[in-house]
Amino acid sequence: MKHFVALTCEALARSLYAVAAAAPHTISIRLFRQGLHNTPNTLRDTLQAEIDTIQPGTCDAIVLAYGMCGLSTVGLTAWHTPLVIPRTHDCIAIYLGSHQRYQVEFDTNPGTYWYSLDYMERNEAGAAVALGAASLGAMDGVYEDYVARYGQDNADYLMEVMGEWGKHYNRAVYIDMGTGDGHAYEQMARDEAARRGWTYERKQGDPRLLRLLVSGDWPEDEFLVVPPGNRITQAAGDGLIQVERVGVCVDAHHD
Amino acid sequence: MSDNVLINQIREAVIDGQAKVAVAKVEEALAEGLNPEVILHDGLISAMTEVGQLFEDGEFFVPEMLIAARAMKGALELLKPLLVDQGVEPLGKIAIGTVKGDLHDIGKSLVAMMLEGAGFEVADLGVDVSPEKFIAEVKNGAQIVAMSALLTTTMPNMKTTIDAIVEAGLRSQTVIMVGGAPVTQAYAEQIGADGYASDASAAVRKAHELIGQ
Repeated sequence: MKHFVALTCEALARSLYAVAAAAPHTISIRLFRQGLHNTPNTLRDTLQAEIDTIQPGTCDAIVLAYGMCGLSTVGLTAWHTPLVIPRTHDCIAIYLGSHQRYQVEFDTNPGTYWYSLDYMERNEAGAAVALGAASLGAMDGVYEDYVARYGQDNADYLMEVMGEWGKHYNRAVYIDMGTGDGHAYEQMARDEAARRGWTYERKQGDPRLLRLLVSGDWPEDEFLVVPPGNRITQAAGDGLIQVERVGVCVDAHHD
Repeated sequence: MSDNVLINQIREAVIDGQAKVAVAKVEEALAEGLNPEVILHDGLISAMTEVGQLFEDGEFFVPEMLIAARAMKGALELLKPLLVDQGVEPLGKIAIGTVKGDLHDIGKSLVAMMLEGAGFEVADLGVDVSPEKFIAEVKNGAQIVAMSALLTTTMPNMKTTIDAIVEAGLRSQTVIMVGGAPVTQAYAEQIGADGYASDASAAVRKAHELIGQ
């Protein structure tokens, strides 16, 4: 039996706890606030700081229940213990169970807002908020500020321009991960879709990527294992991410 | 009123994002017989250069840039037919768009307006732009193809578009620049783009550099 330290976003909390409970190894979960990906440098610094607190020899691997999340996880460095991360864009692929399934969904309907119990129950800004990019609701308090600063004519223009992208979104999907009672949240997602005139769908999530992450079985096409002395970099081709040797002596970092 | 005072008022109106004032002052300048090309260069382009500088200095943010660009565009519309009559050539033609699958346009639109405000002719193709649409613009004389992506999900479509331009035998006819939140210089190099810009102001500098202006 091995010991993995799992770093995860709150958005995957229930799902990761569920698979960790049934994992063949000892899993220590460390939870980080959701929404940090809005400033990728903050999320990266937060995760790296946590990685750096883990002492050599205290676990067999540090597994990350994160995707690229913007470029938040690009640059994370393994100093003495391997890092493992799924090759996915973000948590939506992790909810859906594979990069391929998310890619099909994205290619078919890019204008989709995704909802889940894990994310909504911990959302400080209000539960009926979708995953991912800036929410439409985030613009609500801004108008008065714009009027005061730039005048009403410009404020109207700014609201129109800044809200334009939201008009291209036309579907809400609630992902059921099979953990807890998400009925109330599902209803909120359904109501939000009705209010905004989007179509609504419910999809069954699949914890297989999370299960693999804590299993120690990391297929190369779906996971990147970052050996000590390497960091995560972006890759333009298939696989999304790759490793790159760090240009400093590993021991020197801890001197 | 002296020419310089009017030009300065146009400049100030654009920098302050006062769209109606900018248009009124350009109308006044034209009525007084000022040369449209002088209004363009010393009024509008000069103002947008200042706006870019204020952004780089951290004094302007996206809203200030957007309202300044809007004021510039309104004034430019008045000048365009006159500039054409005078035979004033744009710096170059740029086709810009957010790549296929990506529906986000604030950053792209801002870059488009800043490029226009710098004196380029800009064809803004909008969002979710297919490689075929970019190719059609290259065939139509676009010297620069500028692509934006906000998501890592859609970034690969920048490479798909570049590959399609190569496939169409048009790669030597155009230079390609890329940008957007998840895009980096290293990524731009990996996919074979000619240039990368991290923001709208840098995009203007890069466009100048890429076509040697």
